[in-house]
Formats: sequence, C-alpha cells, structure tokens
Amino acid sequence: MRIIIVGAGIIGSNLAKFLTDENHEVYIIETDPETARKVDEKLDAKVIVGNGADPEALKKAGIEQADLVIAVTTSDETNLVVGVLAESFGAKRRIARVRSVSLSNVLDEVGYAKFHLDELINPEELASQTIIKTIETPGASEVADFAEGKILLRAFDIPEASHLCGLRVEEVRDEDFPWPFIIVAIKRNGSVLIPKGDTFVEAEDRIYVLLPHQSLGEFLTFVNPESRMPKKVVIYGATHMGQRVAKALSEKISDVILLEENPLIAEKAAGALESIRVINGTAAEKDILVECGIEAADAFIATSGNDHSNLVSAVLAKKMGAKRTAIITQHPDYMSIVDALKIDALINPRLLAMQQILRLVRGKGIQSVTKMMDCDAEALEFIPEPGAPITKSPIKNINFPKNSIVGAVSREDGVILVDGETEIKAGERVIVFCQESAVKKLQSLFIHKKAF
Amino acid sequence: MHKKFVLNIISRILLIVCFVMLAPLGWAFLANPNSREVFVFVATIAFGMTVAGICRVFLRIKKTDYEKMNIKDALAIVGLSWICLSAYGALPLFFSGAVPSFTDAFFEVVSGFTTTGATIITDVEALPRGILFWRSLTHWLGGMGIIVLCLALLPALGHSAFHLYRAEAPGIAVERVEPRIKETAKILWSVYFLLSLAETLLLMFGGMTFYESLCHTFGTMATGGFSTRNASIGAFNAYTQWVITVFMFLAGANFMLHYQALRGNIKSYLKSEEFRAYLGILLVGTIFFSMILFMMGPEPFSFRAAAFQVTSILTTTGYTTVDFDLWPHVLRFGLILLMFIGGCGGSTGGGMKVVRILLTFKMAINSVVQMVFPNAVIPLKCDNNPLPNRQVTTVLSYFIVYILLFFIGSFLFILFERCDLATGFSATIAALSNIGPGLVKVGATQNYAWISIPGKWLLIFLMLAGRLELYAVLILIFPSTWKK
Repeated sequence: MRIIIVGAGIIGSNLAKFLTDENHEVYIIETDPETARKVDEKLDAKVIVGNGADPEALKKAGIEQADLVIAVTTSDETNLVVGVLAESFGAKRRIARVRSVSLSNVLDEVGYAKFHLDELINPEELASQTIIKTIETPGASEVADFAEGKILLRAFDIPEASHLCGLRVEEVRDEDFPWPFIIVAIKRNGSVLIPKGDTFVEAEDRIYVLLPHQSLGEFLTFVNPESRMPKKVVIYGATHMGQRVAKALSEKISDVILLEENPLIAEKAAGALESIRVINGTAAEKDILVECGIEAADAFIATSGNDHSNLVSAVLAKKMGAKRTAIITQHPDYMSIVDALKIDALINPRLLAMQQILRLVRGKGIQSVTKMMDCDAEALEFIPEPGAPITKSPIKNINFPKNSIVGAVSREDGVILVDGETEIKAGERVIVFCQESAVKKLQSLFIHKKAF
Repeated sequence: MHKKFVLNIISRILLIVCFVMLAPLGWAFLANPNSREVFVFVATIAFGMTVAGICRVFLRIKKTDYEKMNIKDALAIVGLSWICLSAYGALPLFFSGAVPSFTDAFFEVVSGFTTTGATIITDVEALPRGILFWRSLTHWLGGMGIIVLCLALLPALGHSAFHLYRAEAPGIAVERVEPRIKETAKILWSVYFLLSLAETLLLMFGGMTFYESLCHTFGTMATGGFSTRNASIGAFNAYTQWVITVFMFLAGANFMLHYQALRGNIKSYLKSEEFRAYLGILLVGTIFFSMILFMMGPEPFSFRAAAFQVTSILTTTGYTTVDFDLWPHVLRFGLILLMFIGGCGGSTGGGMKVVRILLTFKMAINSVVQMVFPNAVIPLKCDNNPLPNRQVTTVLSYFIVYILLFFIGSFLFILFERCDLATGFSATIAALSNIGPGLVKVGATQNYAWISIPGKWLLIFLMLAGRLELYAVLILIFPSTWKK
C-alpha cells in the first residue's frame, strides 16, 4: 500500500516504523528539516520536507496514487485541510487527528464525510477511556475490549498471594471452572511466551487473559484476593484528559480528588466539576499529597501535560501509600522503565491512536488491533469471511502459526472460549493473540481467497 | 560493534558472491572441462558456501538485533565485507596458479571490486578464460556495489538498509526514488543491467566476440578498466572505441538520471547542476586536449584518442587506446587533475565526485563575496536548493581528508618504492580515485607488477578507501570500533 503520513511527530514516526516493517510504501511529509533528517535516517521511508497543507508537497509524495493519507500534525486545522486536499487529488482513504474536543464533537455530529475523512482520531479521548477502564479493573496493567465490549483482554501482574500461582494454564480453561477464562500470553523476564496447556503460572509473571465481560468481578478476586473496587482516587493534572477521567469516575466512586498546579486552571476546573474536590498544588510535593490523603488512595492517576512530572509524582505517590499508580506519557521510550519504577499502568495516547490507524491499514478481515506495551505481542479481532479456511474445520485441524493462540469467539448466543473442538463460522468475532510475525499468515486464514 | 550481527550480514553477502562465481565457472568449463581452473572454481564455491552455511547456523540473529544496529556497524559491515570478499575473490586467482603470490592476487581482486583496473598481470592474454572472466566480473559487481546488490536481493533489512546503502553508494546524499531502500537498490541495479545489456549488444555488433563484449562491458559500465587484451582498447576498431567512450560517459553520470530518462523524462539530465558541470568538464577537456595534441602532440593526431582518454580518465575507467605518457607534459598534468574530479555522485565512477568539486568551488567563490559584503547571507546552493550547514561541512571535510590521504599516500609510496615523483603521485591518485593507469612507471603501457609488497598493501588500502568514500575503511582503523 502507498501510505502518506503528514507530520513526523511521535505518532507519525512510530506509525511509519510499524508500516515500513510491514512492507508498506511510506512517504512522510514534515515541515521541520531537522526532524525530517532524523526520521529519514531512522526509517525505510521517503521523507519530504514541506507543509502537508501545501499541494506541491503532497504531489511530491505521489498523492494521486496514495491508498491512505494519515494527517497527524500538531495542528487540527492542517490535518483537516490535508484530508480535503487528499480527497480532491484522488487519495483513496483519509484519516485525520483532531484533538480539539469541541471540533471533534461537531465532526461527529455532521459526519466525517463532510470533511472527506474516513476516520477521525482523538488520542486524548482514547486515552481517557483506557484510564477509566484500567481504574475500574483493579490490578490490571493493560486493558482492551473486543467484540463491542463482550470480550475483555486484561493484563495482570501476579502477586505471590494469587490463587493462580502454580496453576497450569489448561486447569483454568476447564469447563468445570466456575468462571472460565483463558491465558493467552505470559510475559516473564521481559519476553513474551504463548503458553501451552502445561505451562505453569508463576509469581511476578504478567499474564494476559481473555474473558467474557460478565465474569470479570469474580475473576478479579481470584487473581488477587486483596483487590477491591477503588473507593478513593487522586488525579493529578486538570488537563482535558484529567477532567474527563475525574468526571467519569466520580459517577461511580465517591471520593475523587483532582490536583492542579496552575491556580487559574484549578479554579476553572473546580467551577466546572461538581462533587469533585479540586486542590491547587503540585503532586511532586509531599505536603500536598498528604492533604489529598494519598495513603488511603486506591489509585493515583497522573494526567498532567508533563511526562516527567507524571513519572516523578507517580513514584512519590506509590511510596506514600497509593495502592495503584497510572500515568499518561507521550513518549514511547518510557514504556521500558515503568516496570523499574513500579508504576502499575502506563497509557500512551499516541500509541492508542496508532493502533486505531493500524486497524485500517491491516484491512481485510481484521476488525481491531491492540498492541501490548513494551513487547512484541498484539491482540487481533477478526471477522472470518464466508469460505475462509478457518471456517472449514475444527480448530485442532487448522495449522496456526506457532506464535499465535486463538482465544475467544463472540457469537449471537454469547461468548465462548476456544478449544480444539470449536468450529468457527463466518461473521463471528474471533480474538487472536499473537506475535507480530504471525499476523500475515493468520490473516490468510480468515479471508476467502477466490480461485483464479 | 555488534560482531555477531556484522558477521551474519557479511556471511549472507558472501553467499550471494558464491552464486555469482558460478558464471566464471561456466566459462572455464566451456573452455576446457578438465582444466585445473574448473577444479579451483568448484573448490572455492564449495568453500564459500560452507563458511557462509556455518555462519548462518552459529550466528543466528533475532529481529531485535536489527534494531540495535547503528551507523558504526553499517560502516564496519561495508568495510569488512569488501575486505573479506576481496580475499575470497582472490582465491581462484591464487590457487589456479594464474597469479603466484597471494598479495598479488588480493591486489588484483581489490583493484577489480573497487573498479580501479590497476593490474599486476603482464600478459593478460595468457590467462585462462574463467579467471579472466572473474577478473572482469569483479568490476561489474563492485561498480554498482555488492552491498547495494544484496539490499536488492535480500529480504528487507528495515531501517538498517539505509545506513548500509549510504555507506556504500557514492555521492553526498541518499536519493530515494522509491520510499524503500530495497526498491531503490532494485531500480539502480536494473538500470545498470539494462545499460550493460545495451553495450554488450552494441559491442558484438561491432565484431567483438560475446566473451570479450561481456568483459569489456563490465569494465566500462563499472568504470573499471580491466581488459582482455594487452593493448587495452587500442586493440579494437574505431567503432568499438566510440561505443566504449559513450558508455564510459553514461557510467560516470548519476544512474538516477538514467532512470528518469528511461521513464521518459530526458530533461532531468540538464536540470541537474552536477550533470551540467560533468558534461562541461568533459567538453572543455576534450577540446583543450585535441587542440594541444593538434599543435604539439605526437603524430598522428587523433581526435578520437583525445575524447577517449579524457572520458576514460575523468570517469575513472582507465581504459587506454594510446600511450598518453608520450603526450606533452601539460596534458599529462591535465590527466592528473581530471583524476581528482572523477564521476558524478550516484554513478559507478570514483574520484572526489563532480558534485563535491562543484560545491567546494562555490564555497570558495562565496567566501570571496563574503569578504566584500561582510554581512551578506550567502547560502550554498545545489540545484537551487540551499544545502544545510551540516552537509556543507561534510563536503568540505571530505575534500580535506581526500587531499590528506593523497599526500600521506604519495609520501609513503615514494618512501617504499624509491621512485620518481610523477610515478609516486600518479600511482597514489590512480589508486585513490580508482582509475588504474598513472604516469611513467605505472603509465598506460606499464603495470603494477614491479611494486614491492608494502607498496601494494598501501595501494590496496587507498583503492578501498577511495571506492567506499573513505569513512567505511577509515573507521576500521579506529580501535574504538572493535570494542563492544
């Protein structure tokens, strides 16, 4: 596919990396020559120095033959203009990032088609939703939902006290088990393994499980007996994300505290958010955290605009007694240090945005893509086409790539966990967990190749 | 340096060269199936494949290793693989008995891969056909670049491809016609292949045998200079000489421009400032040389010889039709000047490259203007685009390092060989710019057989440094490269 990415920021360049690794023809348009040079050296893609809203730059990138144009510059206006220009030059599909809430609301109302867009991406909104889900699932470090929320993927760090420790993977997927779930991957010592039936779960593992949404509650107490639904949450940073999360959580949790450094913003937030205690101060100060009652907090969420403040305050909050910490960070390199800092969950809005875009690029049969943080693993949602190889025989007779595992299927009559006897039919939603190298082969199982 | 990774990549490149060696084996087999030559080629190929196979088994690399590759690794891969492949390529020459000492065999093959064309063989016509073919084939492989060939053939190396490509391909900037380096490499090699095919056909049309047409095409398109005749191109008719002149000219131009032209965009030639300068130097050079030859030169006067020699030396091919050592001194010096310039960036030619010379001149002019207008802002432009400062510095430092290498090299060469200055200077620049023939004792009718062993190793180093545009070879000298 010929793909043009406008804007070589963090989303743009990471996206370009994934796409070139998957052998797409990638052109990048970037205004800043220095950024352009760095990206040019780092990626197997052609970089054009210029403004994406300038037809000349778009033409240099061969916009006429482009299959997909992704506008991810920092300016909403530029992104929208790129979409319109791309359409008029004949690019097949167009995606734009829009950060402004009011703008994206309007776009949702009038429809993207008016702006000639196929998809709109709002990283902050995606991140807010992910934070809320993470907080509502105590103990989870990564969350993703599939099949319209019927199947959940959750990652858990296994404490010593867990009932799961020392169990074999096949024991928990047994039908006699009251609330079955399936372990699709284990991250141990930094590398991912796709477990076999006789693999044991050990303390300190991070396990990735698929389970039907109705059994989440029981599952949570099973995996970590000490976990409970949060009662007190401290949020640092009254950014759009912070306010959005605070508001959503306050509907279910009685004690939500919002910390904000800037007195003006704090005042504004206090006015806008009812029933939430807003405190003016920085989370990197002990006194302020004490005032928030951090030692009783079930969760501390750092959503300020500054990555460093988020990291530091999360470490401090944990030290002072917050049970779980979650931070927002824009920088993908920080993913590898959160484990060392004992931060429980990390949410990167840009990576989330990237996943949304990847879904469109992967195309055929793939309904959604979720990349796991800091490891080579992803969860894919497929809808098999009629006549696809996977619909022809039970799972055990199908030759799957060895670094992949079929987890769960969502049918009209509910969610089932897959075993060797399961037969998959066209149109069902199938969740597969795999390493990146298996994607191509998997995809071929779910699409129907016409004979020539 | 990530040694495991570097070795793994080199072993893959070795495997490709093993396959290419089947071609000379074929010629040797056709000439005489029972000769020692056939046995030597079979043994060499078997040896190469075994080594590559062992490396593949013991040096498995993971995908994550690709991510770790840095620029230092890329430069080391390119520098080391050129040395390893030259040593490997020298095996048939040495074991077949065609060349008695390994230093000589290594010199000959380095001269081949770097497209220099300097030879230590006195009687070329006596060599067996397979060996002779392999010698010319090394030109063709080295011309467009072995690494570039591997990038086109091997499965995608991801972003590491860019650094490898940049370390081998000549010129000041990497031009991507296609976003992926693999595709760009494919295009370059296809254009190279097409032009070579055209030349072979034209040469055969002029009465050359298929075998000699191929060998001379390899020598021309790679701007190499190995011939199958002792008298070089002087042994062939006027038609052949003109065909070779034209193709030497094409080989010295940027292949990206040929690609544009093949796609119907002929104008792109004249749009390129470097190409205009290249054409200008050639035309002015040819006119000047023929005028001087007409007035002062040895009889009989030949315009063809002037055009041929100027093209051959400027493009760093090094083919000869006459003994230019008999020409007036001013022309002999003129040839030395042309040797410094070389072909265009993105061509198969050596030397400092026209674009660097052009930019250095512009810089000199700019600095004079700056004297008069101390506050003027004068960007250095190429094709009407201002160059970033970083690139300007790179061009300038390249110029300086090149000249330094030339002086140090000449000094050492004259020290080792106790020869005259003209021989010393010309042999050094002929090696550094990958030309081949120089003056006096390394002149058009002479060869490099008489040089001592240290002298030969010095020239080997200069040839590699010149072909790989200095850095890939110089980095191997620094001890820090070899540390983890």
